[in-house]
Amino acid sequence: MTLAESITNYAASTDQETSVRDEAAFQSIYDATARPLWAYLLRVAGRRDVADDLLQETYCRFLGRKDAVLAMNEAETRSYLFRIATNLLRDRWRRGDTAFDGDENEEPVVEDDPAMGIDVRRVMQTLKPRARQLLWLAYVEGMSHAEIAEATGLNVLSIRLLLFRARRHAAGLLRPVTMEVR
Amino acid sequence: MTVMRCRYENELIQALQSGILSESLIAHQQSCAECREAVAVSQALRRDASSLVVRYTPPPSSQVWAAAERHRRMAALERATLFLRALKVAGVIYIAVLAFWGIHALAARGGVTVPGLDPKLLSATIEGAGLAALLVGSGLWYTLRGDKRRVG
Repeated sequence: MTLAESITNYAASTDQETSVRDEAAFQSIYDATARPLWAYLLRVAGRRDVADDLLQETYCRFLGRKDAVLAMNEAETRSYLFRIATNLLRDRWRRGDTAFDGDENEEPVVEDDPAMGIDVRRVMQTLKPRARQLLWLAYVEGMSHAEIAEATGLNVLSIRLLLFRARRHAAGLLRPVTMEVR
Repeated sequence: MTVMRCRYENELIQALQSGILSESLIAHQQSCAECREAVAVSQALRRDASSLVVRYTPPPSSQVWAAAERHRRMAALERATLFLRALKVAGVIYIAVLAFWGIHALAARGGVTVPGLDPKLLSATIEGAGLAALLVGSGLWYTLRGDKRRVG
């Protein structure tokens, strides 16, 4: 056994009982948050493969601070997960990931309500990733501007302006379809 | 552009999320264009989110847990090998200094006067330094070879 292996084994060794308990706690968090988190990642990234990839990465980062995060309450956990996902999305588009241009062929779905579902997807694709994030966090997750500021690192005034523009844009595009559906 | 934000907007969105909309909020929504717009956008996005959530089957949590554990172990390995990388750099510096010193010593043997070097002990010190280099080199090779294999 090399020195590196000895040190690694020592660092990675955990109490078996604690590990089983942690895994059970993680499972309940995962069951409650994986789907909404994936929906957020999909609508902001615009591609299913990117959303799948980032979902796993989000939980890996989350469990990187296992001792701290497993002690959080439900709202804190959810908020923290969305913050990690938001940062990962930002890292991707800063690297110039072309996935954010949006490719509808990458999302093979059958909509229950085709007019509405496809329309929302197209509306999101016309927006910049930052605007997509803000709309989703505000109107789907119901986060306040202060919570969005914490998740995105923007200041509250910028969020107010960006969100207003994004909402106006989205409302303008959604309105005809919404009226048809009604 | 004038940014309009009704002070009831957040309350309205929260109420929509909980499904409990008071009569005063409903009345306000009917009279406030900003809130109507916010509600329309929110409802469209939330319908879309609901349809996505229903269709999606996430990978099993055990799979994600295992991936996170692997990630954690790799990070621990990375931290552990930091010391070995530092050792490697120190070894390279040692060999460079030794080579420089060797050239210096050989130049002294060839008749050049070097201050602080005793020509009588030159052969013994060169042999000693050569042996030390051999030991350091073999030690480094042995320690880092297992590491390289793991990373590979």
